[in-house]
Amino acid sequence: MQLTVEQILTLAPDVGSQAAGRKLGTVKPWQNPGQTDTAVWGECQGSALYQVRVDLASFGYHCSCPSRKLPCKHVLGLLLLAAGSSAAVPRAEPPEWVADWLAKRAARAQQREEKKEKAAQPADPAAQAKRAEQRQQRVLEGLDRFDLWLNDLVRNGLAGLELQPASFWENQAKRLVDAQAPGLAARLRRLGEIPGSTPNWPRRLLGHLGRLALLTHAYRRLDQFDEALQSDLCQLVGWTLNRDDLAVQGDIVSGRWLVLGQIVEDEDRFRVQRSWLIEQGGERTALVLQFSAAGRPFQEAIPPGTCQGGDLVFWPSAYPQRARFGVRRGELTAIVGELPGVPAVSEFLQQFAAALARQPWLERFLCVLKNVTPIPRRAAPWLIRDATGAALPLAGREHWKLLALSGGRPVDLAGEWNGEELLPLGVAAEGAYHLLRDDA
Amino acid sequence: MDDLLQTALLGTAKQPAPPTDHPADALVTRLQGQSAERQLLLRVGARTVHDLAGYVAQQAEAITAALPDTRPVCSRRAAQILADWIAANQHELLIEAYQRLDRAGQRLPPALLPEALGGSTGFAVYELGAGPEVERQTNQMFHHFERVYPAVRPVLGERGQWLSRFYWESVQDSGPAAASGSDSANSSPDLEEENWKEAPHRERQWTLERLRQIDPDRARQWLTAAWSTEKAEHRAEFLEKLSVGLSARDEGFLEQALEDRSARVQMIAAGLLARLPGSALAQRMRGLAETLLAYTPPRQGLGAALRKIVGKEKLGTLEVKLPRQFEKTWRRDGIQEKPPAGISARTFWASQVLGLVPPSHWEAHFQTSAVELVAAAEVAEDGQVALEAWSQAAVLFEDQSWIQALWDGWYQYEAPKKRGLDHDKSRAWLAQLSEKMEGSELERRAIRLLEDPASERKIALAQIVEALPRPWSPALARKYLAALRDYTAQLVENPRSQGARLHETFSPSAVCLPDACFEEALQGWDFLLTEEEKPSPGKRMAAAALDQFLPVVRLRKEFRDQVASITPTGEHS
Repeated sequence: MQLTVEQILTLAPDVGSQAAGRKLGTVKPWQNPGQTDTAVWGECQGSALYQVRVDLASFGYHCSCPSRKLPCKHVLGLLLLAAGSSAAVPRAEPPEWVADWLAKRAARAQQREEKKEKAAQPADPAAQAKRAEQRQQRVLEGLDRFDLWLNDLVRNGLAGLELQPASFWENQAKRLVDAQAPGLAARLRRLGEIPGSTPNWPRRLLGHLGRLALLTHAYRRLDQFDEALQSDLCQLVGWTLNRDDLAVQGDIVSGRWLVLGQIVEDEDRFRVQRSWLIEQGGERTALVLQFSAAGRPFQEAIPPGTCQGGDLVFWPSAYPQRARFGVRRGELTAIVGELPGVPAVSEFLQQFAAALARQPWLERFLCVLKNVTPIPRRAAPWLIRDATGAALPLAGREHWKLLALSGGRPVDLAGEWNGEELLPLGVAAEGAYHLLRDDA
Repeated sequence: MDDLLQTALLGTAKQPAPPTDHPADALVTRLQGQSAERQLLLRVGARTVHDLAGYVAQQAEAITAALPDTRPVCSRRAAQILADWIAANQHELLIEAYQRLDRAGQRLPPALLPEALGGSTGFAVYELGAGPEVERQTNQMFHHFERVYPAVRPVLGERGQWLSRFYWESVQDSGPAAASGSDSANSSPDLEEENWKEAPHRERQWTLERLRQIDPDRARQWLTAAWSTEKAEHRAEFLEKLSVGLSARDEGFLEQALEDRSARVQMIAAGLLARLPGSALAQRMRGLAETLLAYTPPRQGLGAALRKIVGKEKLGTLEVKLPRQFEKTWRRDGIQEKPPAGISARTFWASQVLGLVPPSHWEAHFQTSAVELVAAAEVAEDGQVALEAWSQAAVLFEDQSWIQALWDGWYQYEAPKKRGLDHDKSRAWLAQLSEKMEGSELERRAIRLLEDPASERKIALAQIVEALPRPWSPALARKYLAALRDYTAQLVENPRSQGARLHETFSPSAVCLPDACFEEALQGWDFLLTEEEKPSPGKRMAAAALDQFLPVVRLRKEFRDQVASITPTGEHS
């Protein structure tokens, strides 16, 4: 197993689990631990003897303990033990309880594939079309009301909006949810955090409001756009694609994918996880979104800082960015060596402009810059500078770990660009990749 | 977009949108039938996307890179152990670990440098604003600077030195400049004075203390100038810092401080003046104290000589004469009249006076040794008043022969129910005296204590364990391990046999064991560690206590082995 402690700890559901997992990451509580290329297992002495197993190909895991935290401390402890010392978890033939579990997992995966093939035909196309039409009607009515509200905002002026309570934005977002436009609602909720947050908030807020107006304007003229951008507009408003639709409409790209970083944020009642991926040796980038409610773990483990082969299924879009894993292949390994990226800030900005030209509502964009140096500054955002001297501002105040790893020399940096600032995700320095965020 | 922004801020009802002048406006203005508000929003939308796509990068100057490092980086596992210790504020373990790395000629990996420089709170402390949590974190951080920074400095490597320059700059800019104290060569006098005037209290204390080391007179002048505007609590804390670089030149200021409104300030001033042998107060106190104690030596002669030979020597007699009433002039010398609860007023007055007289004075005055005087006090009426006051004075004046004699005296009280003395008192004095005792002497006493057949006395170990020099000598460590095994074995048999309370020493001792004893310490615990369905209460207790000991020793051993696994050229051996 090639995962680092850092990467394993990102799997923990909370800080408490990290600490508990660390405690179990020692030889003492474990009996008969073992591993193969694709699995690791062991028995952990807690209040009872728990059987713990992890499928390294997909990071599926199972533990016989009753904990509701997933992954539990035993799973984390086992992975930490294996990461800490390969001698502690020797290579072995999986015992029956592990082999059975692996076989069952493989069988279930097979079943899913078969089901997917069968589910080609919808149950009743006529009824489905009717439902869609009804919904479209509701969405359009909702958009009309929303546009009136936007107009009112501008007529009365944005000054003083920072004094409005959260409910001012929330009520409007709820109306959009009622109108079955949850995508717009989520965007609007995020806007509610802008007033008063920074000195230049009116400018930022106005920019976002303007883009929302462009969005509702475009959605009413859906048929004037090509199919790909239509798809974007529908998704932005809140039409979702289910797995089966995605399997039919999505674009499948095979390759080895580097998970460059991960950001977890609370949004309304959900936790949203954004994982940024780039194809090894290629240019294709991907954003994998996962949602979890009520403290449950995210469905799929995507440890940042790792690399794995597999198929990504991209949502249809004028600028395909969002994707999910279809099939994952082979072992997860740590990212090593240089990152695939562009050598100059100007080149990156061109990429970004080209993407915006295709999909003007893009909010975030993966930025991978080669041979750049962090520049610390006092009382101003730090910068990341390329060999020509061109520089982008970094989000957040200080970036000591990044600076320490660079030592003033060029490194390869991965970050998330939002059009204003770059949020550092990870850095490749002296052959190793280091994550720069600890919330993931 | 400023023109549109202004309209949007005021509202289109008050100010109409300005005419078009932006390349993106053309996209919108050709749309028919839009309201003024809608027009404005769409213009803003188009301009925003236009501006995002046309983002122009700024230009930045390059920075000078760090020099290449020559020392090899410590192993990954070693770095991981350090990261855990940093996060848990294990300052003792960190100091030892950094020193070990330094001896092996290794350095920290770059990724660990921010935490190693900033401690568990990292560099983020100054971003948090104010409040009790920040106070706590700031204290952690200062503790880290004071204690750990000198140890970590040599293993920072070129990269770390380079990084710390940026760090100190940023700290001086946004936070207290006193943090640069660990790098005093870098701080300018002006910055120091500004810091003394404006920094938060804790850093002002630190600044004052540092200036006392370099220029005690100037530091006193700073304090004199600020004196009248400081609150009592702070006056007391600043005054305590004058103990650094104390000299007769401070007497005038200290005499003034004796008249302070605050009782605590008065007492501190008296303590400092007492430490100046030529001061008027020291002389007054000696004169006053001589009226409180009288000593009659044992009679000399043939009988006495014989008793000496058989070891049954007679003691001299100490008489403690408690003052009958409080003289008003004493108040001027920082002597407090009203005793705290539980102490009689006369005892309180006497102990304050005696506590300000150097104990060596009594050896000269009564022509006898510290040991004799302590022994005489043990049997004298009100002798405990003398013992406590001498202990206080021995600590204040750091007089080794008295510290040792008094320590031995208090240790006698550890015998079961000796003269009904409350053990909390004797233990508190053992702890205080231990802190000031020479390391080798204290270690000798620790060994004696572990060999003592009266197991109750082993309780005293918990009082002195923090003060013992680290790492322990192998001789002490082996004695301790033997006692530890006896103790846990007894505990398993009988959970009530906690008399020696050795479990209180598990966690500090795990940090103190020398390398030579790691293996020995880790072996032979099978009788406790084998899993059982229902372990006995004694076994559970012993195993829980051992859980504070073995994991730490195991990690220290692992760290040592990890350091040894890297060759000077950076290869894993």
